[in-house]
Amino acid sequence: MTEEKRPEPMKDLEVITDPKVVKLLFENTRSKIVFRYLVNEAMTVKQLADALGKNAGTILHHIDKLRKAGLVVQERTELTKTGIVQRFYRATAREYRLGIGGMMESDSGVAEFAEKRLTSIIDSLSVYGIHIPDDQMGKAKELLKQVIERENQVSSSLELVDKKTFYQFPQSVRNDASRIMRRLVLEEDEKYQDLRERWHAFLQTHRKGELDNE
Amino acid sequence: MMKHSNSTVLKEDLKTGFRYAVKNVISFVLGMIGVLIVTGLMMILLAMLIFIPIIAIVGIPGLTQFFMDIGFAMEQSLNPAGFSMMALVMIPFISPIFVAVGALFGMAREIVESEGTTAEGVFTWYKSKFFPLAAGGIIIFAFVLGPVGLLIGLGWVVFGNTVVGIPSAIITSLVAAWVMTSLGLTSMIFPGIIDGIPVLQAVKQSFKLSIKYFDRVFSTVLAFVLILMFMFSPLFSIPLVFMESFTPPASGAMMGAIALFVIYAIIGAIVLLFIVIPAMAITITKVYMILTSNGISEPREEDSFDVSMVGDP
Repeated sequence: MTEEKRPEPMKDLEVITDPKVVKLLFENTRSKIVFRYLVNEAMTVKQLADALGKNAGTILHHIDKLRKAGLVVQERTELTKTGIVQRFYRATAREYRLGIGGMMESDSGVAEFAEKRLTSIIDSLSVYGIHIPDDQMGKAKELLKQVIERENQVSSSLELVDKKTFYQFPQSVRNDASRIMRRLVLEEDEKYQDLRERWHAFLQTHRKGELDNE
Repeated sequence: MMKHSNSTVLKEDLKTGFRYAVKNVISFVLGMIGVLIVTGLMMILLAMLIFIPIIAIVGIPGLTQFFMDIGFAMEQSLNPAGFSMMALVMIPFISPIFVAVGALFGMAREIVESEGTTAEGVFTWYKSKFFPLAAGGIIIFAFVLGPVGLLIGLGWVVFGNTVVGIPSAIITSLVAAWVMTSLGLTSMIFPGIIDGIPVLQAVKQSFKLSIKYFDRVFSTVLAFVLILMFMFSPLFSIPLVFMESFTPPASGAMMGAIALFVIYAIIGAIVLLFIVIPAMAITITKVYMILTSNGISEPREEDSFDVSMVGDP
């Protein structure tokens, strides 16, 4: 590489399946850089350092790791009046999701993290009146895992037929269009529909209100 | 913004380098003092790692004999083989110095991207890029000084121990030309390593950039070589004048002149270490970042009203 090539346009959705990349994002500052800032807009090291209250060197080291993991790219370079060369970095996708299946099959702390996260999600449903008993927890996790995986698979396979025109629209318009299309493809996918129905039926049977009504 | 050079571009690059070196002088002073201490300790550690096992195997007399043999080989005919051997022995010891210089480029990178750096930042670079920077430094060292040693060695072989007159002038010119060329070709290696590029790729990239943007890279390197020559020419010329006109005993005026000379040398060394070298690292890093960019633009205004209307599915 002699000169930076123009980066690929930002993907709409990327599913992170590599446990090494997931592990990389376990670090708090790195995950903030990607999920809080660079998915929304391109930023310089200085802007990130100011926003996160860290020094520029720390941010540079994180950016280096995130670039190597393929999560961040250099978007453009600007030369300021003071002679500073500002590189703007952005995420490679507007939205990232963790590939839960791959994570659970991994043999490191990533599997444990995925397992805990699924349990937490299901536990948190209690605030909506959905209480999953311990003996049903395994089934709940398996169903949720399958729904998430299918949704990620279908949403991330959404193809753009006219990339050039798509990237000429403002970010917000692109986001709206992509949400509309994601809904459509999910509605069209029979497997996802089936999984979602089963998951919803499972939730309904454990909803406190439903049980009280019975 | 063009990537090639002209006098205005060079002036702006140098201005940026010196302005930010001065602005961050405290960070550089503290960082460099710290890094020099760490480098010294690393060199001692390396010496222990190398010499303790050797002493254990061949004993102190064996080691002494080895160095005496090298010294003898060099004394005998200023033997190039002896110098090569000495260079090989030296490389592991001086590699922490390469890392220190490389870490300076890390600080420079922080400045070029964010206008500031911290003294502790240099240690992060020192630690995180230790092996790539050491490898890069060894490559630069071998590439710049290897052919110089070879040329001087050839001169000795052809003309004997004392090379004077036209052969000496030719060798000196060739050495100067090679040092300048090789420094230019390798100038982008450290910024490349700091940018996260593997060492060999950084070497390849440095060569490509310095050939493609010959004017920008070489004008920058040449500017700093000239600055160094300008700064230190009094240190070489004044002693010569003194030696020619000196008749003992030394007068008060002469002692005063010597004191001034020493003060100049000390101030020069401080300015070199804490201003000129950091300015060079900043300028070269700036040039690297411009040359490796996918196009330079003016700062632009972002569209502030960019709000979505559709919720997530």
